[in-house]
Amino acid sequence: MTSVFEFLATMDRRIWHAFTFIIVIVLLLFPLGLPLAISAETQVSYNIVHALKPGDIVMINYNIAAFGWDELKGQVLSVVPHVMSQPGVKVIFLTDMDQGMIYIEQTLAAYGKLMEGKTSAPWYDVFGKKYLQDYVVLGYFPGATSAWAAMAVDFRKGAGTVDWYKNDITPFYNAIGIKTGQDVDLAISFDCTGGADNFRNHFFPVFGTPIIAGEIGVNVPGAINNYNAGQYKGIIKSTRGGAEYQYISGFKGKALLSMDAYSAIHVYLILLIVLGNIGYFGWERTRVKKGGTA
Amino acid sequence: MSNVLKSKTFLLILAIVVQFLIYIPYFVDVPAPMKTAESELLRFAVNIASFAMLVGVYTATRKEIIRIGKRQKGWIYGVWVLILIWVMIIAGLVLGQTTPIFKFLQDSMLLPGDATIYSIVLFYMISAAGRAFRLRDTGSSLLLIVVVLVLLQQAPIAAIVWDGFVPIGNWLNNYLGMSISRTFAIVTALGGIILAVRFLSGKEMGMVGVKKEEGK
Amino acid sequence: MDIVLFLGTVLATLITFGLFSILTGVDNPFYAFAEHSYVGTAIGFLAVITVVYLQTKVFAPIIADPMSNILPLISVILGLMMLTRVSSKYAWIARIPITVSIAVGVGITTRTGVITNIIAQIKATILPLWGIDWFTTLTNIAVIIFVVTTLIFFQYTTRRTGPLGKVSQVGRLVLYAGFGALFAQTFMGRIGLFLGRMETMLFPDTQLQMTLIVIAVVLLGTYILRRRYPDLLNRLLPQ
Repeated sequence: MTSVFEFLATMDRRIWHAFTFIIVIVLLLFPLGLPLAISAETQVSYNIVHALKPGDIVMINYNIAAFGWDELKGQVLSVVPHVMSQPGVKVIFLTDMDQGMIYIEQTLAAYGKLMEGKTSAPWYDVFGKKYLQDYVVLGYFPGATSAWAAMAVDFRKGAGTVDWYKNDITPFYNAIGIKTGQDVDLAISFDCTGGADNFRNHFFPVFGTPIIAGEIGVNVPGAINNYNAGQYKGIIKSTRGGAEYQYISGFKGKALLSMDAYSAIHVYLILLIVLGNIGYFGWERTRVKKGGTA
Repeated sequence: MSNVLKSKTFLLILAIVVQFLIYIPYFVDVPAPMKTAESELLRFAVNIASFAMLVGVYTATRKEIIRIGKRQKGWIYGVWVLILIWVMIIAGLVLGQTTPIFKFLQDSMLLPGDATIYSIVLFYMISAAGRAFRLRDTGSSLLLIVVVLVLLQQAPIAAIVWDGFVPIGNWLNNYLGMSISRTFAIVTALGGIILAVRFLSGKEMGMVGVKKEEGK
Repeated sequence: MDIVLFLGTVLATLITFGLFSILTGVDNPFYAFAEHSYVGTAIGFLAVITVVYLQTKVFAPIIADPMSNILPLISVILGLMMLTRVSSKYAWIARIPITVSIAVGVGITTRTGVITNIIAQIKATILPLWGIDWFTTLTNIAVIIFVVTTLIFFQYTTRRTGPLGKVSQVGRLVLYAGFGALFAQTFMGRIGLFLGRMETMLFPDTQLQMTLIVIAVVLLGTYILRRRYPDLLNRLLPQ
């Protein structure tokens, strides 16, 4: 019996790693289709987007790099088409991460078809929204917090009058009438490193701009804090939030299918903790009491 | 002239002027030139950050050249890194970001690498949890119990077993976890304010590269 | 599948599982290759994006209309001063733009930090304790206790003895429990990353086949190098 407890307490971690891979691969290839409950925060976020009116201006920030894309793509590829499908809404895309432009273009290409006479990004017609008439892509802003502060004070000066592709966007600004952060009706930020904080620090305190924060798991505790403090109107939590949004918006994708593997890994970790404690009580603790090291 | 520009006093005066040009327009109605100064300073910081990144590229290149020149262990990897850096830069700037070679390197190396590096942390978390989460004393027991309860809330399957896991886990996330985050937010903000005051009083000039001996 | 796409897929899979190979506990050349490839392309990519930003948003407006863009021109001069950092003789010049940049950053953070991170958070902690249902009352009491006790735990300016010490100990236990919640949420995030990565590696079928082959090559290669050719393995490692 001692050797079983010792084995459980000192199991080679490579065995754990191997089982992690096996569980995920099997359940991704053969999902079980278990039901999914929708959290209140995701439903609130959906309702906010659904309530957008014609003429509303939405800023969408892609605080996304490759290390967070796999976690956020479920929510990005359901929230963005949901926003773009709201009639009359004007959208401004921007990013404060160097890789963000890759994912902006990927999103537009996923749901858009090229406009007549155009051959590449950003000239997509996405749910009837045409580039430079209904949406623009401002591009990448290094030193994000300064750029957001500048945009809040004087949007055109802070963001510049050309888009990322060097097109003059002054007619777009004039058409939507944007001058400062006050004119923004909704800010959405998909965050790997806290991009929604830029809106929270520079738009919300002065203009009360509603913010929806789509966060990776690491950022969720801070986001819940800000949500409870009333600074965020909605949050979408990691892959599960993406799966929930996909389900309620109808823009379904792989995040929904991965929920079985997601569940299994959680249960697996709990099992490892239980087994480790069985080994601890059966072997490690008695060994320490007898004068050995832990 | 250069002695004046090098001096700690000049840098301190510059820092004070810039910081007040950022603070005052935010809280008080000021004349238009001050508002312009504020918005331009914000843009200055963005543009300076861009040039700082280019310094980083130079530093990385120089480091690898030194490694190759001294034939240090693994110098061949330094050659590979240099090739990749400069092929990306030349392809991206001369030929354009939509050029096949740039997109090839981006899609086959950069994005997979970035995505994978951070997901490796999952495995370290699993092995840490399996090894370290023990019912040793009150604190570690509390930690373990809360971890298990929140994990059960997060796993969609747990709600099928017993739907009580969801409200318990939600409560722990939304109130306990939130309270800790709130504490960290307050404490970090206080620390930031103290740092700002120390910077304004000239005690943190090490941040701008002024050594203690120089400041005397 | 054309040859470029095929090569790209092979490389992406090799980079992914080369990085994962560190989980075997053995330093190996697959990991070294993947790591250095990632570092090289990341630096190159960042440089390109930064230069494109400068060209589009900074230089182009200045060149188009210099007289209306005197102030942005000053930011370019400050940026160029930043480049002197690479010279040991003139590195002092870079202190000026660094000072401006840090002063702006500190200014922005503190001017908003007071409102958003202190006042708003404290306001949100001042919660009603009566006139509401019992569950909300208990929850509000709990939140106030959690925040106050953990704040007391973090104060170091006086000795934490007597009642302050007891409260601080409660704060310590609250932190333990709170870290449990934070750990679980962080774990949730990392699972999402890993699942997303594996989805990319398992679909479609051709990618799945590639994945299985690469896993076999990496594991077998590492095993053979370690058992049969340890000297060669040592020579192939960067450190």
